[in-house]
Amino acid sequence: MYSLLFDDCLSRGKPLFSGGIRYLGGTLETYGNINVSDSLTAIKQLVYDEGKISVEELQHALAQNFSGCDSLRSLLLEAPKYGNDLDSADETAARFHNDLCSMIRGMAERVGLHSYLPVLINNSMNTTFGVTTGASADGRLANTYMANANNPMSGMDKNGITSMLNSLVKLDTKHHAGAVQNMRFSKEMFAGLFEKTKTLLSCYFENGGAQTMITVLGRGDLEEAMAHPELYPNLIVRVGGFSARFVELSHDVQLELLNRTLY
Amino acid sequence: MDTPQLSGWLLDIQRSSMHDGPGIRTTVFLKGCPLSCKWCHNPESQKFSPQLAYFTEKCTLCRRCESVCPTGAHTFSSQKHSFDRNACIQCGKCAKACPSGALKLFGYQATVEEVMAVVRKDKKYYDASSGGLTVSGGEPFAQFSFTLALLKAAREEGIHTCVETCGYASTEQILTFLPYVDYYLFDYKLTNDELHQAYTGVSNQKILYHLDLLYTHHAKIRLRCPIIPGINDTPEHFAGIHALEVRYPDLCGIEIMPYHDMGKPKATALCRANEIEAATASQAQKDAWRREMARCGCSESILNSL
Ligand code: SF4
Ligand code: SF4
Repeated sequence: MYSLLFDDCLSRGKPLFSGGIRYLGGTLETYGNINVSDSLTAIKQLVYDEGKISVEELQHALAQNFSGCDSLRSLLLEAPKYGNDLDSADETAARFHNDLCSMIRGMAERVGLHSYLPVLINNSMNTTFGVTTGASADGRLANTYMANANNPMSGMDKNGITSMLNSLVKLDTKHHAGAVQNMRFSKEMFAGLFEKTKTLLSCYFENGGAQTMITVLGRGDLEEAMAHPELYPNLIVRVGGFSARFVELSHDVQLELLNRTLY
Repeated sequence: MDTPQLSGWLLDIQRSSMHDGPGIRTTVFLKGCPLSCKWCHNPESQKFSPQLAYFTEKCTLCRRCESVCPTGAHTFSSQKHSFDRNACIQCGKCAKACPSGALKLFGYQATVEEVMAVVRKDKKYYDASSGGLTVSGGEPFAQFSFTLALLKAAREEGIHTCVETCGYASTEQILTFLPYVDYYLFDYKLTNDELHQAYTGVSNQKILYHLDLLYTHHAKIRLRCPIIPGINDTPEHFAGIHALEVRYPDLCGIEIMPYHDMGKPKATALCRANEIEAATASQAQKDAWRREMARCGCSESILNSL
């Protein structure tokens, strides 16, 4: 019945997915992209450029989930991370983003579609998949959340909001069908410095930003809500493409949100 | 020396600063200050040379610092870690090796061009918000040639410049800077000169003279007044603040900065004697100050900045 509502289906006498429609498009969601690019950045710098870690040491540490390898993990964590307007990390992220996007687009024919584009929204699946994913070379522990969509790994953007916004616009939006950019503001910043916040966001859009999802919180609100959920039944947060009552989210998803940088 | 290659001692570069002058700014913190305010909330900025800070409570006694230190400054005996500051040559090796963040080297050198490479990244945000570069410290005027070159470089790229100063420098230096500074954040610490000397190490006479000098040259100045419980929260000083407001009606505002004790752990970690007892000002205390300031004649705008 649904096919009746689309051009061509009736004249061709075929349903939607069986050749009825002229142009059939689809999308593919990807997860952990930023963990991949941050890992590649760390490996390039520490294994190849500086030779501080050998491939074998890294393999061993990842297999052990870094147990007994704290100093190696510190090195990985200190390596440049996407979201700080640092060329090395952002260039790797942009290159990975472009390569991944064009690879997916190039597969349209193989999957029988006219257009096939990546989508970077994730909802909370970056956490769902993260809890069954091993440790990664960006210093992320096994079985913990991954970065949401193409946002910096939670809490790794430490260089001020202008740096984070500058990093975001380095991932070209023309290559995909949609992405979300999460921003957490404190009440002091969002309400107290409203004009400056407005300027920040307009600059971001002028620089090529396409989208933003904003959560405004009091400092300590999420920590309090985790400790006393009964007091925060109505605390609504943006997750990754949808809003939710914070207290109803799973513990792992709550942690991912809690660790995002609050500007 | 070629100006872009001139190097200075930095503590940090902080992007997206919202409280260090107009608009959205990048603040460059320089190391070294001619004053030694006992309440300084950035004690790591006072000395002109690098310093190693040791945060005792973060140490896990892993002894990695001991194994990398070229001078044997870290020693361990019966689960106790001792750090010999006099033996330390500030090479920074132990801070790099420490896995728990218990050791941190404050201070590094950077050239004007290296600093500008960071500063210019947010040019669009400055332009849209009337923001720019702020040079803070420490005391920016103390690294005379470096700060001057940095301000000139920013100006050449059309970036607004602001300096956060204690006002203590040679008059000649202050005048040399004049054409390159768009905005001053000027500290006013204590009205009573004897106390000023006791708590900051220098007299306030020259500082007040420079404030007057800048004002007469129509500089844009915002006065910043740190208020420290038990030290300058007195009617005498509040009246002194009000007197400046009357004398200099065209100031770009007077801002009260209530003391917070966040600098104390850093002071301890730098083995700097913790010289004042004061704790972060409470709300009740601020309310009392507000009443007292009003009694001393301070305007609404001063009271509201508290
Ligand atoms: S900075 Fe260098 S000299 Fe000083 S304690 Fe550390 S390793 Fe030793
Ligand atoms: S390296 Fe750091 S944690 Fe280990 S003993 Fe030295 S100060 Fe303590």
